[in-house]
Amino acid sequence: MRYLPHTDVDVRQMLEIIGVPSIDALFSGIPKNCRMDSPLKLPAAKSEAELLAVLRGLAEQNARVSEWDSFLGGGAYHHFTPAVVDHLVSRSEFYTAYTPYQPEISQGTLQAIFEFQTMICQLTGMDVANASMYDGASACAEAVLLALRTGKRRNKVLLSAALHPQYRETVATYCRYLDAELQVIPAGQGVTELQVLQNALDERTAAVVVGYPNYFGQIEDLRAIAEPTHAAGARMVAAVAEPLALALFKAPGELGADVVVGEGQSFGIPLSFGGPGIGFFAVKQNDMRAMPGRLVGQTVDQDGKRGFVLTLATREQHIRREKATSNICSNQGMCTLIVGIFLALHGKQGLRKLAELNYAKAAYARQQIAGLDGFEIAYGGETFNEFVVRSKEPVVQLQQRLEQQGILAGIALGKDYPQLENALLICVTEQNSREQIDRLVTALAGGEA
Amino acid sequence: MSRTDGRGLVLDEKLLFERTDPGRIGYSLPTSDVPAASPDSSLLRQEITDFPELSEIDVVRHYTRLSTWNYGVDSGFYPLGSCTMKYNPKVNELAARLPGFAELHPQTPDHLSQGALELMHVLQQDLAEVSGFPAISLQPAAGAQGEFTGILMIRAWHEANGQNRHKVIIPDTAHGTNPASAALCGFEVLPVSSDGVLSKEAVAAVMNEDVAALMVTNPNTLGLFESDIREICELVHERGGLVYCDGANLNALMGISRPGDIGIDVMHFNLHKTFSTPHGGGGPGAGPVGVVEKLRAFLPVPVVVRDEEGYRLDYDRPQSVGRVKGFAGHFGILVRAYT
Repeated sequence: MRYLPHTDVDVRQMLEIIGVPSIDALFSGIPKNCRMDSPLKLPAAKSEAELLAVLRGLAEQNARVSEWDSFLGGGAYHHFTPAVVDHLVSRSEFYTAYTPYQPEISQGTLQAIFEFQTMICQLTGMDVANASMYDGASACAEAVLLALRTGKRRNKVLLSAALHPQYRETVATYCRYLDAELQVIPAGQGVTELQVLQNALDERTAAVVVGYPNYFGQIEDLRAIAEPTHAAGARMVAAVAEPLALALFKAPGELGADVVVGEGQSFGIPLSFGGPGIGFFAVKQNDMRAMPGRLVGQTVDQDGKRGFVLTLATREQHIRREKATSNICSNQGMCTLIVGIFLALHGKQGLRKLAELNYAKAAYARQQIAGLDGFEIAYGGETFNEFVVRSKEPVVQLQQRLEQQGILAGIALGKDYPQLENALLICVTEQNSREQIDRLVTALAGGEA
Repeated sequence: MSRTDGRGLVLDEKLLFERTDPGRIGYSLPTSDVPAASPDSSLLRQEITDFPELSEIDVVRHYTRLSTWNYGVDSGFYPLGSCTMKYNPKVNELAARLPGFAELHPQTPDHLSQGALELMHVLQQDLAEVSGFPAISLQPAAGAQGEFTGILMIRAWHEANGQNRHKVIIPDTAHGTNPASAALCGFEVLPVSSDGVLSKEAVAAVMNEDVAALMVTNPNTLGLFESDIREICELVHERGGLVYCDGANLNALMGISRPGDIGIDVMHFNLHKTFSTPHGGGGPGAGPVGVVEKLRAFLPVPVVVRDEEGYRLDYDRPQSVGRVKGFAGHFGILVRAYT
């Protein structure tokens, strides 16, 4: 028994010490009417070699972004991860550690999270960031909860139509049984419509939530959104699904955001079919105590040496159980480590260059596609590494045609946006070579790449 | 700047920002093969103030040194109560890193991700067998989110039956996140004290038509099996309520007792407690939810289903409580649990 290593002698000795006659007797507290009368019908355990053969068989059925020409984005991004990242996170002192409730045996995890929080603040232009949320979508929902909790008698939340649809759906789920009214502000030209927003803002509005970049890849004019939002006494929440953009474009904190949330998968976390990723959550100083989740703070020990601890725990469920700001408990410890290492390696210059590279690749693709018959770039305005293309050819047919050539052409937007029936969200990162982009353009035009 | 890191094995590791040396970079980027381009300068940010600048070896040493300040399951015995700390098999880590899993984009069409969907479907079935619940959602990111999802489903079920019950009974032996999850679903919490084990009488005293559900942890936080659980479930059902069970301590019951067989209606699993995925210094975990047949329609979207064309993610579930996070769940953790 590989994972149950105790020998008969071990078991006997343990039973003797605790004064119980047999293993069965340990379960005597479970009444007869709660016991199973037959064993579980699970397949027999496999050897490691057999197991890996099965897993490889399953893995090989999937389309890998390294083998296909992938132009998929939409909240999950294909970036290169330096070998150092996986090497370091594979240290089992990190990944087999528990939640750092006991700081004396968790300083490694705690310092790494503290550094993660600091880098998130620097990137977003905010004052305080927490130790992570589950992902961008749930972080966005928690930002809305923060605004509802702290905005007295305000129960209206305005969500940009160009906010990631999954973020909007998650907000709706979290607000399902709360006294909250959600209203979607259209984004007909690819960005949140200011006039409609201004008309919708009133003294009941708790928050306005916009994507930055938004789901269509567009850079929203946050300052112009913040102004009427603040005038109405509401908070502006910026939701960032592609945080690499923050290395190039102005930080939301600089443009008036009161809460910045987002998804950190871009920073070294494998795509892994959508999870785990990592949510980040940052606020200005005045909202620090209203933040959900955990926070690592710096302190000194009894010898005056610097140390790190989980702090402001009164907001957690352990102490004021019914009054907790959120129910979040476990979050994404290992993913904060990945993000921290990725950001530290790239550093100030590397991250900027990586962002510039993404911008240039996408700009090239955008320009090439704009020149094709039967296609048009849906929106003007600035984009980062994603943009929307309208096609004369039905998008489903187009996707199938390109799949035959080994190209994952992008995401069809019609499912989430009926008015964008034949539109495709195309993402280009540093992982797409010029040859790949040229093949995409040729294939879109109807040629064999 | 000073580059001392403490002497010899006495670690006094500075922060990344204190180790920074302007101009250093720890990774070489590829040269661009496309024309240079830049957005309008009014949109550009200045450099990121105080962001780290380190060489690769600086970063490697920094995190290697930090790791030695940690204690984990691989360092030694970890006898922790409510958060079962298991050995994390190394083959799990290998499995999650197989390129066919790690490099799979979540927006890949179903027919090009059949292996991943099959794995999820089989895991759903295995969790169903272990727990006795016929319907499983793999979406929730952690136990607390699974719990929130479960309570949402309970509320949705009552509403679908035209009932507006607004209270939830929570014994003092229940897990710490229970009251917060109930409050997030707009429920009022009715605390009930127990004498180590919850009694049928204590529940009977507060169980009325205002109460939507009883939340229990079994075995409870004191490690005791709730011996009257079957009778308590019957009582709650008779009076129109449902029973939620926190699965944090499921490890102690597997193969002995199935929550789905003894009257529990909803339970979450903690894959990082019961199914050997790493705690990771506080996550990521995964918190799938199992429910009885009558709650199946309320599971969050998407659910992995199988039909004649193969496996697919099903979003067309009108009674669903909706999605609780992005994409289909913590797939990388699901692979580890499956392994």
